[in-house]
Amino acid sequence: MELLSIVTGLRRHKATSALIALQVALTLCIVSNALFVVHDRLVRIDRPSGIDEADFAMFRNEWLAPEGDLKARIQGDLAVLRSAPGVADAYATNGAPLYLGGGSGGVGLKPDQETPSANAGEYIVDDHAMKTLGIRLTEGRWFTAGEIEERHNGPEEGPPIVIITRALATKLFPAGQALGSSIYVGKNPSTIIGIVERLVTPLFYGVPAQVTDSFFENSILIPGLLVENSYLYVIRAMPGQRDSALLTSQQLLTQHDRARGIDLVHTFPAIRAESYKTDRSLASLLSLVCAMLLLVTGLGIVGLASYWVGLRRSPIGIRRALGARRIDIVRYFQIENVLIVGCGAAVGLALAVAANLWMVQKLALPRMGARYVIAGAAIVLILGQLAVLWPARRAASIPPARATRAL
Amino acid sequence: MFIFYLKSATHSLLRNRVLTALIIVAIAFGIGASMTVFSIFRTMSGDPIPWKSAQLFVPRIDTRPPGKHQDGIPDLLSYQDAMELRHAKIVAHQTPLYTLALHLMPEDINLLPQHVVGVAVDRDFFHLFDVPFRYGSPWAVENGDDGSNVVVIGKRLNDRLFGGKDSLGQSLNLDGTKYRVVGVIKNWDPQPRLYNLLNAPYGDSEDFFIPFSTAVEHKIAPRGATSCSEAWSERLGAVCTWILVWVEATTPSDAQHYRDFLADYAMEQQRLGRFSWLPSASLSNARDWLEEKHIVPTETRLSLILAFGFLTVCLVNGVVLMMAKFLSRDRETAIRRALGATRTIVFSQFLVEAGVIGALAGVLGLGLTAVGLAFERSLLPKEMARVTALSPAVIGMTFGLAVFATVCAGLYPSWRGSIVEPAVQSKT
Repeated sequence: MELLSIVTGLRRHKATSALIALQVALTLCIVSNALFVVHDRLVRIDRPSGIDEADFAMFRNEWLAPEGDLKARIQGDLAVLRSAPGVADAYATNGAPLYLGGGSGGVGLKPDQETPSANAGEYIVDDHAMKTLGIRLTEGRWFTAGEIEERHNGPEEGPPIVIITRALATKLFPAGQALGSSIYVGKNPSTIIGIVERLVTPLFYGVPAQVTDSFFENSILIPGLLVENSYLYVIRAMPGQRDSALLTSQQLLTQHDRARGIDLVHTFPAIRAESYKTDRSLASLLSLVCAMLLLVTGLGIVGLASYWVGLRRSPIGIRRALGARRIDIVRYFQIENVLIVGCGAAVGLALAVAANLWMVQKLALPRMGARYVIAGAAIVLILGQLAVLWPARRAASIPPARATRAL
Repeated sequence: MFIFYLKSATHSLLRNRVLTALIIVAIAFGIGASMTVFSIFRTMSGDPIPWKSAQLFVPRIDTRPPGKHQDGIPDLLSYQDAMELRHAKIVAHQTPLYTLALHLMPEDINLLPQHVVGVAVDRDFFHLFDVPFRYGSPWAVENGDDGSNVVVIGKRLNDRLFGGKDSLGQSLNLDGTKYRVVGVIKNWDPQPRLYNLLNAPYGDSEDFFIPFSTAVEHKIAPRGATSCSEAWSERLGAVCTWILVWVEATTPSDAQHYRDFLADYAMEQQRLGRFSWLPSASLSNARDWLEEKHIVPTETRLSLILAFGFLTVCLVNGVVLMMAKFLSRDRETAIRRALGATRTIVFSQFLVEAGVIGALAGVLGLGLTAVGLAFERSLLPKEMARVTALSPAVIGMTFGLAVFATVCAGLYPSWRGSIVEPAVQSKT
């Protein structure tokens, strides 16, 4: 009975009701899609790297006069670094997890495979790298000092042995048995001698995030000493001494051999912050806009409901005079609000899914799960109820006598 | 008449202040959010030299064996191909380009070398991209070929090293080689750096420019995107790619001529036995190339969609609240109608009121845009933060959009407000 009178009441304000329902629908559409993207980005930001992040530090070394025995100079540097105060261990390499400018390649199960079975980030590491990075070896063994050969940048021929991550092992050998099997990163076969629990790839120049994310946990460790003009030193500091160790090691290296340039000095929190800066800024921008959007829609509902309360002073007074309690008046407005917002939410659900599908196509975004739309619908319904409460209370406080006087 | 409408609009806006404030604030928020994101988007998707880009082209030749390449034709050329194109002289102006990073060796032995980034180009580069000079000029034609150690430096480096003074004839020690300064560039900062999109498209402009032949003679390795190993001999071959080539074709027929030349060149290379297949060759216009490189990140596109969605909601909200505002004055309207005001007059008055709301929202929205841009600057990576400045164009657009959108939003409420029947209302 009451519902019927509410619907009849709304039919007098068809255009306004439809407009506010449209506003709710658009709000739901935007909020649920934004929630989805924010959540997606926050999960992305939180992905563990697999290394001991707290004590990690790195910098780039570049020889200014790359003459003479480069290999001996690098080995000399490593000896200096490893004995530096506050440094637990160190190695020279081509890239670091999450750090822009690494190497990658396709991995196959056969030689000269046309389409690789998987993509992977490639790290050149030595016998000290496991301890330096603090990564966990779950199967097999690490490289020994005797297995570390001189290596150079450029296309990989295929080292005799490699260590790969668990994710890559599962991808290449879904049935297990990765350890001891051979894979191809170049023309020669490489035997897997160890599997590490987790080690994420570096980031690559010009490779968009969607592509890197598709093989983020696939890393290959190649035994070698990188003999190049320019490369990275990664150090692991003693607990709590990272910043001082980083400074000392640069000073010691410069004293040891001045013909070098050191730059790109980073700790892991800095690398992480830099790699995820766009994600973070997008997440905060979306959250901010969502909050403002809900505020605007909420205030819109308050404004419209207040106007309707003003319009209906007489009918409300009559109802009150005829015995309606205050709570009945409040409920009237609440039910009316549920009807409008509910209609808006129903349209909004469809809009939200359509918008997501459009963005999947246009922006290569992932598909949105149903929970975000449901959460969005719940948010707008609660928002509607909260927003209508104050005008409804004001309506309920209209005294019966005053209304009859106005007649 | 319009002045009277304005006065009466201001008067009625002041009557229901809360509702008025709600409408203005909501629209201002929508304007602020969308203009913040839009101004970033506009700069990032922008063409840094719109007057020139239609005439600039990137020739590309795919030297890879046919197969499943999903990434289109690579942008870079091998040394052999780049030099063939250079010598063919099909167009009047062209340049090869590659990025290099060197160390600026200080005179004082106690100071550490500084890392400086530059590009190796032919002197036509400065013509192609309309590079303005503060002092001097591009190096002489003969210096481009004879391996002279000459350098053109950017404003920033000139400010740092020579205090912004005329530094022509001074010398710079880059990785142990002395280069003579022949030119200093004025403040020149194209965003994105169209000519070097493959390396940090929103980064600072280069510190120095040296002749391509000189860089090759000194065996200076390319920095950034390359498919080469470190062996210099391989770099001078025909397989690995590391050089971007720019050509200027002033007319469409010039461009077509160059396309034909490229196709012939590809066929000739096949005939010579270099390839057993016909390599695909293309000539892309700078604008298409910019588009193809997708240098506007997904995040920015997403934010743009979101921001304009938000503006739409704010405007719908404005429609709803203006309905409430205009319709609640039905008695007043009815009396005015009874006193002889036509529907058109009432309608125009409401519309002027919407315009005043829009103008106020525009002013507030402008402030919010300024705040939004400052907020973005603090969040974006440093190299991108510089593209977020509040330009006069952005200010004009913000204000215009606010008024236009609000007047549009006010059309329906104004019409609804103006169709009140005089007789019915005056009866009560």
